[in-house]
Amino acid sequence: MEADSFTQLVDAHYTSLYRFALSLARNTADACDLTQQTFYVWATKGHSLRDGSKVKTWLFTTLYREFLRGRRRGARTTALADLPPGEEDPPAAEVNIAVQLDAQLVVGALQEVDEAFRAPLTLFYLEDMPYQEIADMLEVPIGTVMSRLSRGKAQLRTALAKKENGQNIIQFPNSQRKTS
Amino acid sequence: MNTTEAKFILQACRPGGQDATDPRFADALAQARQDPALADWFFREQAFDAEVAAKLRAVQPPAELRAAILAGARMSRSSPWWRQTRVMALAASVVLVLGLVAAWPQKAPAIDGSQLALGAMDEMNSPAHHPIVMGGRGDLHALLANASTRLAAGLPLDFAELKADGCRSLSIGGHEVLEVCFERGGNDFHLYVARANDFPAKDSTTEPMFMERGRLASVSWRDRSHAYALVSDSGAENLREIF
Repeated sequence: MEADSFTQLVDAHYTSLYRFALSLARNTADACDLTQQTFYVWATKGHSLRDGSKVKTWLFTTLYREFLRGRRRGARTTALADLPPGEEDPPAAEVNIAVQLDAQLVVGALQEVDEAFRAPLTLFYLEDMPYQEIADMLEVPIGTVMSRLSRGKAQLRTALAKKENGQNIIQFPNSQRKTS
Repeated sequence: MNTTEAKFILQACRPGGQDATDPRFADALAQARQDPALADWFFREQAFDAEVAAKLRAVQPPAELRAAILAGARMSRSSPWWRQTRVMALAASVVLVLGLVAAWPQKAPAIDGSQLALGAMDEMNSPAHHPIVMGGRGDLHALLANASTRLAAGLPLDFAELKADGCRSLSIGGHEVLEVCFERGGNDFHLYVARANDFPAKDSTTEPMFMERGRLASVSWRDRSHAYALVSDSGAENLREIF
């Protein structure tokens, strides 16, 4: 692979990878590190991948594994059993909430979703990979991906609603406050 | 399939339409076509998902991320860099750097300074690199060669003046870098100076970062106007002493 091909590879995937990394890492600096680290791993090991159609999945999988590796060094993870259950009969989504909030707040809400659900949920919204590849990447059956997606969406709706409530609270500037 | 089961499947149907022909969704989609209430729920769910997906797509990476990813590739121009043993040496040097930085009292790594230092060491390793050449401001050379000068205390230089004085100019990561060579204690040192804006710090740290790669050792640091990398083949201890 020539340098131009590497540049094309970066150009084709680094934006999506960064968005995925941002949802996982929750801050810009760590998301950049994860994205860079993914391409470094590609530079050292990627040539062993023979199926060119799997490059995207390989990159996302690598990024996710790098994230998990970093997480293992840090705080403990939450057991799935400790997390709240999904909705039995999910309500109709409040589209307006998502429409009214800006991208940063929506991503912020996504970042509040429990880690176990955040990866499948973000991959769902990135719409980059088939379900089978998402399942392979997360090393769970497709049914589990859907289950985590359902629970993740429930958490996302709650987080969005909180953000919308916060946004609707109008702060009066100090100069306009009156004391009686 | 009851409505709850259909919703469970339909909520996983992505708004872009790529799942519409997936047989896993076929039954639930057929049920939605026959059940107005379910169809309405699905319509709103898809609209919600489309909106969230659009918001996520609106997030753009920091402007410098692409350049940072490609910087490693640019630094090795002669052949595909990811197939060179140099990459392994780089990885080893990163590990060593972490150790050195951890051992450096009360110091934290200045991550972005590594790009200038790595580029400088790469340049020194290249066949095009020259032996030590004295050029540029004589008073700066005198200061640098003075055994009592510690570079960490600050350097009285200006990038534009240095360039005008005829210092050697080269490109690292697409940015102009000036090189000032000097001797101290019988050892050769190469000071690389760049504009601070060309090698922006990821955070506000100005702490030095020590690295070793093969026979070369470097320390990189920055001040308000400049980013610096000092490189030598005289060993890390000499570098620490002079810094």
